[in-house]
Amino acid sequence: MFEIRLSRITWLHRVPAGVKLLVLALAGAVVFLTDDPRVLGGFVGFALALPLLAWLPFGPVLRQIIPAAILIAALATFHVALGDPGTAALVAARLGTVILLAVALTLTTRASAMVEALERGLTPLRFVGVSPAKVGLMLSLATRFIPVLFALTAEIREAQKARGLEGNVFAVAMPLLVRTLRMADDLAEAIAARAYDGE
Amino acid sequence: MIEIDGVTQRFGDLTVLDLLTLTLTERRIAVVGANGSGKSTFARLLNGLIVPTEGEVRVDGLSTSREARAVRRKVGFVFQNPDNQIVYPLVEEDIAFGLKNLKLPKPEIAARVDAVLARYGMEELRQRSAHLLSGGQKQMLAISSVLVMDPAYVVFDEPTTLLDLRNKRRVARAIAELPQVAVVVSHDLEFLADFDRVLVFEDGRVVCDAPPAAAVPFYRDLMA
Amino acid sequence: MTVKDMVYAALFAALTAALGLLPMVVVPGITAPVTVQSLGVMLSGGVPGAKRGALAQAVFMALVVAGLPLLAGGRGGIGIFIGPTGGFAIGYVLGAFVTGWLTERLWVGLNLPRAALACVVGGIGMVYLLGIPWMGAVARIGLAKAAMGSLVFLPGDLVKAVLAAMVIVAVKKAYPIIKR
Repeated sequence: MFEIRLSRITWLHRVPAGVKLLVLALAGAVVFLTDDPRVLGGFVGFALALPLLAWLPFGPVLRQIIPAAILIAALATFHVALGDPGTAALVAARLGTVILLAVALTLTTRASAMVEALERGLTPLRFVGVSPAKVGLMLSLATRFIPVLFALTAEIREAQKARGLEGNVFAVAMPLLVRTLRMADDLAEAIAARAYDGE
Repeated sequence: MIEIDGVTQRFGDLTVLDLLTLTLTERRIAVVGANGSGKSTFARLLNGLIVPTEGEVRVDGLSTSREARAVRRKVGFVFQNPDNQIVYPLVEEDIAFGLKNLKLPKPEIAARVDAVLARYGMEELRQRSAHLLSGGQKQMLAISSVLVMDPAYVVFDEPTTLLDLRNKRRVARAIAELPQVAVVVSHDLEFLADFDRVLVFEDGRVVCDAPPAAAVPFYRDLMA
Repeated sequence: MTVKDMVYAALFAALTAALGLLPMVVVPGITAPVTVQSLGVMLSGGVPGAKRGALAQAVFMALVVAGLPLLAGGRGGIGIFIGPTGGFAIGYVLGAFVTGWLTERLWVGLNLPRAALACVVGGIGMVYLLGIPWMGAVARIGLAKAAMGSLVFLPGDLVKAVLAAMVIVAVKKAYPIIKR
């Protein structure tokens, strides 16, 4: 529904989420740390080739890319107009690479797989007091309740529409807040009841 | 055996339960009463979600005041609102949540999840998003997520109130078939006919404690 | 971090996402239409408190970065952040925290002006404090230009702050969470 998913399963879907995240992180780091046109060119090439090699369908990819593409185009134009095509190319290469790779990741990875991979990746941070399990639980909880709150918001809007209060933000926000707070109380009980330790 | 020993429950100035002493040994126990009678508070005392202000609750000898963690492994709890007790986005993950909390090894978790999905005919829902389930399916998911932890007792707080008739019957059947001891808080009197014992609450006290044949008419009169 | 902290963080993150569904509000006399979503920042801090508010916005941002289309208009993905608007994202986390912190300090006797103050300082002040310099740097247009560009949103944001304050005060009466 609100999760972007492709109907076709490609080889890229089967690559573990952790690997994909790592590649994205590394690529992102490298392109922002280097000015070397050959390195950048290589990464841009890789980023452009990946959606093609993975047989990702054009439609969803374009839909994901367009907002960012507009932004990059605007920035590049701005710098060209200032007489600095070099910077324009640099900005376009960096942002373009990261966005293309990110889109490939998003379209081929389930949210839950990403959360799991993130939890594993955060394990070293345990020594700094970060609990990967808690991070994972929060992210999963949020993911779980986004569609619930979407539906609730729509429901409240409908109800307020019937009373002629359609454009009234307060009339929608108030009941939404109160219901959300009740949900929070219920959920906290439910989590505790399932023997959650909260260590 | 669950022992409620001289329990008084206060929230601020409000006394919700008044010097309650009971021992629960039956297999099917129903709890009825008007809203505000104390029945939901009573239910939450049984698994240590609420700890008594005075007195003690013991589950197989374990005190809920001192050994809440151990008690929660023995007593499962199914809540009224199906939505607000599902924690993970996918069916399979939500069922596994409790088992992760019990720190079971991964193969065991997988096996138990498989078993409970098969038990309730939900295998095809394994990878489904929870929010795409019907109300009845959500409640069955909630029940499965609790049962998979293999508790000795399960407390249900108005499990059928928000469901339509067909799903009420489905949940009632699931409860009837449970090997565990079930304590069910409910307004749905027709499903309590086969229970062993009915506790009728009013104003924080048990005003009737009898099998359904006697307790249900008493309750009906009370509510008239 | 307690279970309640985590639950509030997750739900207010989801709430911020849901607010993105509400249509933009056109306020007479203000040129740029106002997105309702940034109310989520002020509400995340002002209702459950500073720590939970910051967590909520961090969770929200993490999910947006992961690609979920949660920003108003169904936008999402890492592009949002590595571009010029990235600073506003970090500003959301800080903004929620500061709004919450001020609300907590002013809790006893909280009224509309006080709540609005918390929302303006946190939800507007902090957000702009981080967003504008970042924009100036990443887009390479300089601080002054970035500030000028952002000014058009200020009247709309002020309206939002008042709306958020109204909700915060009303929720305090109906279902108070921050207890002092």
